[in-house]
This record gives sequence, structure tokens and C-alpha cells, in this order.
Amino acid sequence: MKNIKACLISGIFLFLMIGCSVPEIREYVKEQQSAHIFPDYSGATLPFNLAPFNFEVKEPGDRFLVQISGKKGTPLRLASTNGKTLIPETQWQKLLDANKNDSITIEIFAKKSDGWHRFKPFRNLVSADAIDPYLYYRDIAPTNSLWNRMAMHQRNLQNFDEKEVFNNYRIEHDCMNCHTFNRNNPDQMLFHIRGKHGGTVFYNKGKLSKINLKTPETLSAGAYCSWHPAGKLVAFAVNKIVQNYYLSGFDHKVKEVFDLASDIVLYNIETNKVFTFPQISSSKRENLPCWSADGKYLYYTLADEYKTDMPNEENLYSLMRVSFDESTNNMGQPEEIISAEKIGKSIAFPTVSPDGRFMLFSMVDFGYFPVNNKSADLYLIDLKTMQMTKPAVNSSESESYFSWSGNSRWFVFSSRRLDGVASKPFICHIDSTGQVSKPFIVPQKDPAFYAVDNRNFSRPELLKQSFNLNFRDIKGIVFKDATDVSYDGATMSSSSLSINKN
Amino acid sequence: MEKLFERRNLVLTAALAAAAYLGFTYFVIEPELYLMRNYREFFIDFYFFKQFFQFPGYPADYFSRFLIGFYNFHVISSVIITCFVASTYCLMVSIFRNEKKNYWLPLLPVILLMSMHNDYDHDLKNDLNMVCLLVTLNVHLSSVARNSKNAVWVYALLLVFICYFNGFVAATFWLLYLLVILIKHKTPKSQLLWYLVETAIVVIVLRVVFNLTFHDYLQELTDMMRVYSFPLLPFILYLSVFIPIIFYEAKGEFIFRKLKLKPVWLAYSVLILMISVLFLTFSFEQKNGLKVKYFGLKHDWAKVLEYSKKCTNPDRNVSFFTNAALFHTGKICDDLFSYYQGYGSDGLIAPEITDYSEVITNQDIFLQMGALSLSVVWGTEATNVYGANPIVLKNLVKAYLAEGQLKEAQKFLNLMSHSLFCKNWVTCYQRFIDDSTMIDRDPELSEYRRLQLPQAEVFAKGVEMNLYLLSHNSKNNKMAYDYLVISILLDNRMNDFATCLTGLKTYGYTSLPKVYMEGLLYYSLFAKGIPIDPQEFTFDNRVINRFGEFGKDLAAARNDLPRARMNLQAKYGDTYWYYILFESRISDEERNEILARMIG
Repeated sequence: MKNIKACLISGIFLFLMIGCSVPEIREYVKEQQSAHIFPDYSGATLPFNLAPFNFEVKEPGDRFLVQISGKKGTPLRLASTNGKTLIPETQWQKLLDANKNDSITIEIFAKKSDGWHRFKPFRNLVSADAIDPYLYYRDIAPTNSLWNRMAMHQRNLQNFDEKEVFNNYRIEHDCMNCHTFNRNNPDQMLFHIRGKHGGTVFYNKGKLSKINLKTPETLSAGAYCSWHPAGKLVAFAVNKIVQNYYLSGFDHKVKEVFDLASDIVLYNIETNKVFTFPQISSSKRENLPCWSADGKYLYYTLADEYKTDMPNEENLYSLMRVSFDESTNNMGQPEEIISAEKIGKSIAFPTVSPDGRFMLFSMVDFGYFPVNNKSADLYLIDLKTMQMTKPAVNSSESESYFSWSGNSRWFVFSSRRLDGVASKPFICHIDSTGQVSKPFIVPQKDPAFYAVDNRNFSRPELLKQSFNLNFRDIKGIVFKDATDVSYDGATMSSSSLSINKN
Repeated sequence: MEKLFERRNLVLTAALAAAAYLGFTYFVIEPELYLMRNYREFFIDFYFFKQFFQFPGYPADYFSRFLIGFYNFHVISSVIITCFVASTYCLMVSIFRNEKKNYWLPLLPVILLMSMHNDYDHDLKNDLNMVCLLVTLNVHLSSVARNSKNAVWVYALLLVFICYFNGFVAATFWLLYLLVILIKHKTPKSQLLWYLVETAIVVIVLRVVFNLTFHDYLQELTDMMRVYSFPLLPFILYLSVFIPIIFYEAKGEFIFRKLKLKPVWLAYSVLILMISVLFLTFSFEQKNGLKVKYFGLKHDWAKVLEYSKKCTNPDRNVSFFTNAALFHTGKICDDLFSYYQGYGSDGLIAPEITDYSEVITNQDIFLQMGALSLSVVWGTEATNVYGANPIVLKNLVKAYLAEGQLKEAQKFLNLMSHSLFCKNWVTCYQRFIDDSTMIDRDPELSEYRRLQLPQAEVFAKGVEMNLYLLSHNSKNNKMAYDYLVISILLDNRMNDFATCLTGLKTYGYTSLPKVYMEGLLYYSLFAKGIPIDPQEFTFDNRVINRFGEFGKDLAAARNDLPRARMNLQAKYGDTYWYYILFESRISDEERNEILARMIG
């Protein structure tokens, strides 16, 4: 009996050994093409502090071997029977560390009926520029008006750790949106809650508050926003938003979001007052504010006043900026950076790099809501030369929200290129001259994750450190009534009160 | 009979009762209908498994969803429900195995559970919670009965299990049961203190690990109360376990002696009580409404009309599917008013939903009409409300395929391929992605493709604008045209009705349908001429005669219309004229004017 047991155990052990062992391949057929892998990481520039880019080989075969090597460090040889390549984290980190400022090569072999095939290897550059280690995003279904489950998540990009920070289950399914950090810094953050417990939650260096930003003088509560680098002011767009849907799918369009009116207001977190200037609350529609890196300019988008039954094609936003002196509270005259009329397109979500050199934005056929618009592409402006370029990173699907890494060498953006259904976060490297590398998707432990996951990674934001709040920390203020702000009308000229737009 | 209820025959009695309930479940409840209310697919792959088990989703939630998937199979679902009910009874009896036997009191939670199953909103999680509570209670009592040294630690483990698997509300009831039992058994104070300390440690640890707050607890309570029409039902179910615990003190016999009842009479009364509960708490109205939706989503239009007739107070879902069925069976222009139209044009398609369940209906009806983007919009909303509901996912795949958006269709096929119950469907529809030319050869998909607009149009809120765009831009979209004319007719907008009627020939009408003719006759009361040339159409003269008779009958009853309404309904209930006077949502002023014209 003992012998039978021993044989059985040995047999199982032998089977597992053969199944999992890394094959030695001496003869193979050379393929001229690179292997198809999912997700596609070929040719991308990687930060040295990135989690392993696990992928699935999408080639026929019953056994697979993936060999990852660099000039230095120990090569990794990974065998599988289903093409799923799961890279050990520690060895991967060592390999990337050893090959900083150089590259790694990925060779893929597949065993078919006629023996082993070797696909054309691909290379990935390993940048010595670190990416901010955390990615903060909202996990939400690609929904339009109903919601019952959404959460804010924080993903560690150096490994696969992910934590749920807030879940709307805990606030009676209210909507949470527009989380915004000040320059990749988790010490200053805000997000809006819409619904029963509505208000804007501010986290300011350890202090929490919930504010009602709606005043009788302004169009609405604050929506799209940007922290002033000094951390005292936040610019908010206040919008009268309308949603329209398309009846039929001929143009593959589903939904359009537009504003009947909009302004920009500034909120002083120390005095709890909102104020605005005629320059940014005119009868036209000012929207999507973004402070420059030094806080001396406020970038925003501007469209003409809304007219009833205005065709979509006329709903175009230009890129503007206006100087601002925080010490004297003076605002200069608006300057047009990109004229929508001239380019015949619309600008959305301008985002300035922390070093102040570059700006990313979306360009769409019309409107300012790129996430549902397949025409949305990513553009770059060198703010030193004011040259606009369209980096070769765009797809036929929507490219929408951008967030820069603290060192301005990486950015993450939302793209629907994988499936056209949900936005996923893609990362690009950008060098000091503005050269942008091929985008790659944030790696996941399970390479099949993106094939089935139909949730949006909404507003991906890179963070220098972990954001350590959780629901228990904020519950004290979430369930309380929001503190009303007061409106400081001293800066307004009487000719352009935003309330007139009501 | 008495012998039947002796201990040795208990198994036989229980088996008979279970078989009877199985029959009731199979033939009366028809568990497949639960899927119409609360069907979220549970995917079995590890990736999904891990995701589902993250807090605050209690595993009991997801495990119950896994079981609900089997409701696709009629027999299996009936067996599952019966097993839960039977297990609850057996476990209740088992808790008191050392007490003097009384097999009636443990029936209390069973009866409650049965009445809860009669509600199609029922959450199977309550069954699972009940069974888990009773199993753990049994385990704990066994360890205490054996005077096991580990009883105290077993208690802690069981508490952690209940908190994690079933949630904190269930755990609260479990603690209450234990407290009552421990006090009843006169447990030493030192041991009670131990339990108390352990409970505190478990609660604190779980609170820290999952960042729990009291608000989470309240949220769980609120969510449980949202399920049933009587919100406290789940708590009454859990509390029902107390009754036997407390009553066993009276050794059961007490009741018999007091009431001077023989056990056999008690058996009869329990039996009558159970049957009464089963039939009194069962709503055939709810069942018929769900049957309409069930057959509507399967596009079995004859069955839809059959069950729609049985609905005395139909909701908007019933109205949507009834009208769709009338169109697909070619009866919409003849039999429209033989069915309830009290929702007016809002009973055709909903521009805005009034109930979450309408998102699935909306998605399906817009798909049938070729409004593919709107079908996708509502389908996407439905994925947020219902999660991965296979009905919704299938319609999303169809809409995307008809639009030619293969990447998007592939996404949802990928998702569904992880399901236990959709694999064949996925294989079948994967063919359209592998060879997209097959889409045009598929009757259903090519029809959706044919109906869609030649160019995209912005949807303005309002049924009418949708229908106008769909019918105006695609001359083949007869469904949109009929819906447009009927929606205008239902809203009593006769000038627009007259304009729309000029398009009859375009949509292939050679004879004037009954409903349109009734509308036209009514229109003639207000206008000098009619918008079409009657010579171009054949029509039924009986409609004209009936219109005359209706006017006469109305004139005769003008002094006491409310009383005469019943008679008029019996005679003219299937006409537009009756609808507009007695069922439509027009103002009293308008109604009086119409009445005057009809009588005059």
C-alpha cells in the first residue's frame, strides 16, 4: 500500500515537474513577425519602478516560453501552457534596476504541431525616470445617468497592491466625482459628493471639511477644478449641464454633454469664500480651469454663448489663459492660445506639467466631454515655444483625461482603445524635448483582466505618496451638512455678474 | 393521523410536506420568474471570485447570486428553494434536540420563509443567512454540550465567519440567539464574560481590518429593508427563531394543555395555516406582470398578450411589452384599446424611467425599433443597476453587432464567456465577430441594422421626437411610425395625428386600421375635412356605425356618466372614444369639450 502511495506521489510530482519546467529549445522556426500579446507592451518605454507587465501570448500553441533579458542582470525564463506570462515581481524589479537607461528584450517561443517557433523579439526601453508610485482613480461603470456602485481606488504601480479608499455603498449610493489632488500631492485633495449627502469634501493637510460651493450668485456648485500650486485657492467651473443621447449608432456616438452656461469661480479655502472676475465669468462659457505650474496663469477653455438649438459643430471651445497675481488678487486680460474657430475643433481638459514646460489636452470635433467622443485625441503644447504637436499615441477611440507624474517625465491618460466600452489608464514617457513614447496600459496581475473588466478607470491621477485616508476618517464630515460658502462680490464688475446667466 | 406525527414518522411527514412545497414552487411560483427581478450573473473564474469577495460585498450575497443562476432550470430552482426551507426546519429542530420535543414551533421561521419566497423580489441571501445562522448555532451548542474546552474559541471562529460571510445584521441576531440560550442555560457569569470579551475583540478587529463604521451597519439594515413590500420581513424572520427558544421553556406541552388540543388538531391547524400563508401572500398579479416581462424579453408575443389580459393593474413594463406584442402580432392598430392604455404615450416607450426595472425593458424596445445607440445607453445603465445581467449583456452584444461595433461586442462576449449559463450563446454569437458578413445574413441582426437611422440624430427628451426621427429618416421603420401615430393619438393631439396619417401609404397601408379610423372619426368632430382620401383605402363600415351608436349611448347617459361608465365600457371599452373620455390623462375641461362634441 505504501508503495502505491509513494508511486502516486512521485507520479504527481513528476507530472507537475514536466508541466511547469522551462524547456530547453535548441531548434526552432524563426517567425518574421512579433508575437501578438495582450495587453500590448511591445516597444513601450517603461519606468524602472513599474510592476511586472504580465501578458498573454495570443498565438496558437500548446506550450510557450517567454525569455526576458537585458545586458545586465539575470534573464527571466517563463514557461506556460496557456500563454499567460506571469512575471515574478522581485526578479523583474532586479532586472529593470540593472538595466536602467538601457533596454530589455522579450523573446517569445510557441510550440506548435511542427515544433518550436521563435517570434521576432521586441525591446522595451527602461527609463531611469521614476513614475509616481500611486495611481488614484474612480472605479465606475461606463454609465450615463444612474449609478449605484462606484468607488475610489488607489493602485500601487510598483506592484499589484490596490486598496479601495471610498465606496459609495457607504454613503447611501451617492455619486462621488472629480477627485483632484494638488500637484500629485496627497496632502491636498478634494472630491464632490452628489445626492443626499452632497457637498465638496476637502482634505487639506490633515484637516477635513465638507463645503457647499453653491451660492445664490453662482450658476451651480463647483464641478471641474484645479488647485492653485500655493494650495490656498481652487479654481472651479460652475456649469449648467445638459445631456443628450443619440438615437442610432450609425456614427457610433452615444451621448453628448454640453453646457447651457458656465463660469469659473475661485474658492479660498482659508476664508471659505468664492469669488470671480469678469474675465472668467463673462456671458460666454468659461470652463475646465487649470493653473500653470507657477500659479501665475489660469488656463481654461472658452466657448461662445449658448443659443437655443445650437448645432453641435458650433459648440467649440478655445484654449485661453489669464494672468493672476495671488498676492494682490489681480487678474489680467485673457489671451487666446488656440482659437477653436481657426482649427475647427474644440479643446478639453488642458493639463500643465508640474515643471511648467508642457501642456496636454484633448481635441474633439465639438463640445468638451471627450470621454464619450471617439474623435477625442491627445495633443501637446510646448509652453516654452507654444508649438502644438499631436504625438503618435492616439487611437481611433477616445483619449481623454490626463495626469502628469511629479517629475513631469510620465503622464497617464484615459483611453477606450482596448474595447471602445470603458476607459482604461495608459502610461507614456515624455522626454525633455517633448518626445512621447508608445503608450502602455497599467499592468495587472491577471493578464486577462482588461479583456473582461468593463468598468471605467475614471480620472486616473498619479500620486507621489500613498493617500492614506479611508472611509472611517471621512465619515465624521460626510454625514454632516455641508458648510455654506459665502460669495465675495468685491472683485466682480457690475456688468457681468454670472447670476445674469440664470 | 396521530401516528403520522409520532417521532418515527417525522421524516415521512417532513418529506411529504417538502414534496408538497416543491410542487407549489414548481407549479405556482415558477422560480424562473425571480430572474426577472434580481438576476446578476455570478462568474466563477478566480478573478471574479476574488472581486466578489471583497468587502463590503458579503460572500452570502454572491453565493446566493451563484445559486440564482440555476433558476434558469425550473426543476433545480424548485429543489433549491425547497432544500433551503426544509433545511431551516431540520436545523431548527436540531437546535432543540435535547429539549422535550415539539415539532410545531420550529415551523414558524419556515412559514415566514415561505411567505418571503412568494414575493418575487425575494433575496435568496435571507435563506442562506438563516441556514448559516442555524448551522453555526448548532455547532456552537454541540461544542458546549460536549463541554469541549475549545467551545470558547469555536465561538470566536463562528462569530468571525458569520460577520464576514453573512454580514453584521445577521451576526447581531446570532449573538442575540446565543445570549438568550446562554442565559436560559444559566451559564456562569465568568463564561459569559469570556464571550463578551471575545465578541468585543472580534468586532474591533473586523472594524479595523475593513474600516467599518456604524453607518455601514445602518446601510446594511436599510438595504435589507428595501427588498420586500413589508420592510421588516427579514428581521421578523430572524426574530422568529427566538419564539421556539423562549417557548421551549414551557416544554411545548403547555400549549396543548392550555388549549386542550390534541396534537393532531394542532397538525391540522398548522397545515391550514401554511396553506393559507402560501396562497394569501402570493400575488398572482405580480406573477402575471413578470410573466409578461419574461415572455416579452423572449419575444414570445402571443404569450405576452395572454398574460397581459390577466393583469388587472399593469405596471409600465407590462404596458411596454403589451404594446410591443400588439405591434409584432400585427394587432396594434386593431386591438390597442382591448388592453390597458392608461399610461398614455408613456406606456409605449419611456423617455425617463420611473422604476429601475424599466431600464431593461427600454433597452429591449429601443433595440427592436433600431434605436441602437439608445439601446446601448439603457443597456449600459442596466449593467450599473443590475450588474452582469445576461439579458442585458445579450442585448448589448446584439446592438453592438448590428451597429458593426465588433470590438465592443467582443468585450461583452468575453465577459459572458466566464458565465456558467451563457457559453453556448457566446459560441453562437462569436461567429458574427469572426465573420462579420454573417451579421447581414442573420434575420434578427440584419433587421436591427436595417431599421437604424441613416445618420445619427441627437435625441431630445420625449418619446415623440425619437419616434419622429426614427420613422421619418428610415421609411421602413413601421414600428416607429405606428408608435408615433399611436403616441399622438393617446395624447389627444389631433392635428398632429392628421399630419402623421398622410404617411399611411408610405408604410404600406391599403386599408384603414380600426384604431386609426376611430381616431379619424373623432378628428372629424373638430375639423372640417379629413387628411386622407378615403377612396384610397378600404375600411370597415361597422366602425362608423359604432361611432354613431356611441354618440347616442353617450347622449342617453349624459346625466349620470359615472354610473353609465360600466355599461359603456362593456360595449365600447375597446374603442379610442371610450379611452379618450374615460381613461386618458386629459384635463376635465378638455373632457367636457369632447363630450359636448360627441353628444352634439
